[in-house]
Amino acid sequence: MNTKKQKVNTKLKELGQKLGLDEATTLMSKRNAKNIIAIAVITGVILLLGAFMTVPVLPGYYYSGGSIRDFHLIFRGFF
Amino acid sequence: MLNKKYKPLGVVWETTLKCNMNCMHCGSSAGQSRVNELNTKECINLINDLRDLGTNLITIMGGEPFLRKDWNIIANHQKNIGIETTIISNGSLINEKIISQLKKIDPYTVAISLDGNSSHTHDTIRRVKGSFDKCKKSIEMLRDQNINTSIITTVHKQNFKELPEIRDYLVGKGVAWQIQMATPIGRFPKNQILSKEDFYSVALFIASIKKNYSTKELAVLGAHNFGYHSKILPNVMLFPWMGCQAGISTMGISSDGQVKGCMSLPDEFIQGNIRKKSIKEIWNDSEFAYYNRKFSKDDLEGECKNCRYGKQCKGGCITVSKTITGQNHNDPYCLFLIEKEMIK
Repeated sequence: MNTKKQKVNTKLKELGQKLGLDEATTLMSKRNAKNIIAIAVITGVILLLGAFMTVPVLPGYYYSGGSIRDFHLIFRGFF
Repeated sequence: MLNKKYKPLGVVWETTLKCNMNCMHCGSSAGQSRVNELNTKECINLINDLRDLGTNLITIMGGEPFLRKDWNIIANHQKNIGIETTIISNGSLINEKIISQLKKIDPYTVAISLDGNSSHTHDTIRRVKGSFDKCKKSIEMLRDQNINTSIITTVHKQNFKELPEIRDYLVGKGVAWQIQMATPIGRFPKNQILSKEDFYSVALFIASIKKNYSTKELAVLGAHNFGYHSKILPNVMLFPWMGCQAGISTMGISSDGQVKGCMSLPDEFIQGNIRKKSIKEIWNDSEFAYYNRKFSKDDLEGECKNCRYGKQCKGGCITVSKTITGQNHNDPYCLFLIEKEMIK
């Protein structure tokens, strides 16, 4: 298990270096429990909205050129 | 109560193919106008029909959309009937007059393409001398007037190493930064596409910005082709990947009225023209976007065939998949797949 984790970290450090990321920044950028919970909640909201509106509703915005407004807690997509 | 009809929530519309640049990565091979582009009246009718279909965001792109003399009429009409407008531009034509018109429209965002943080890189890719300076000036003008501004950087072998410099330039500007991978379609040569490792580095880079900067400092996002289902990195896209949305919640329309599930798809995916059938008829046709609407796990190919996320993921971005493998549901630029190879 540790070997696998080490292998991943070594590879990540190598990939991070290509774009100037130091070791600490690279390892900090890995997903954590907070990311996993956040994505589960967002997925749940989308699926819930999708069940009542369309199939699914929000990801049509993937293709639109992200706006700063997409980062607001309540944005156009939720209305 | 349950309404399972498909809805083109966000539509991407190439209002003209005319462009004053000649970018090496242009997926539309833009330059000259198409032979018979939609006139103003046809555009207005199209917008009205899209509103009836439930569209609430139309992204106007080109070519260079500001080269269309009636761009302001189109964008104003969208505003007047309650549809949000995003404009994707190369930034070369933005002047005080356009800024003043944009202020009245209050766009969802004006997205400016920035391919590097030096004249050398940006101008070489755009093949127009001076385009970098004009682009930066436009960004500053838009920000000065508090117009929602986004930056789109399309990455490939020639510019991906410049991402850290672009980041440093954008921090604190109050913009959103979308990073997308160039796909071998249109003018973009296949040999300039990122390697899978470089692609992964870019995803890691996006994750690092998300971790180290607040969205107030720099709101970064990977485009729809920066997925999928990574076990190591957090989601770097705007939303979690729920499969290609072509013909499900998005649609692409070209300047001569051709309709596809997504604007980035190759022309073989065109399934109608609004001059022959209304956009409503095209969208509501049961065969429209059959590759997504009638998708089943059996349609997966290659490495995606036995993937545990296959049913939901549908094999990633169809444009990337098609242009690289020739198959619809087998996108090799997948973080999950790359990770599997990485820790073999």
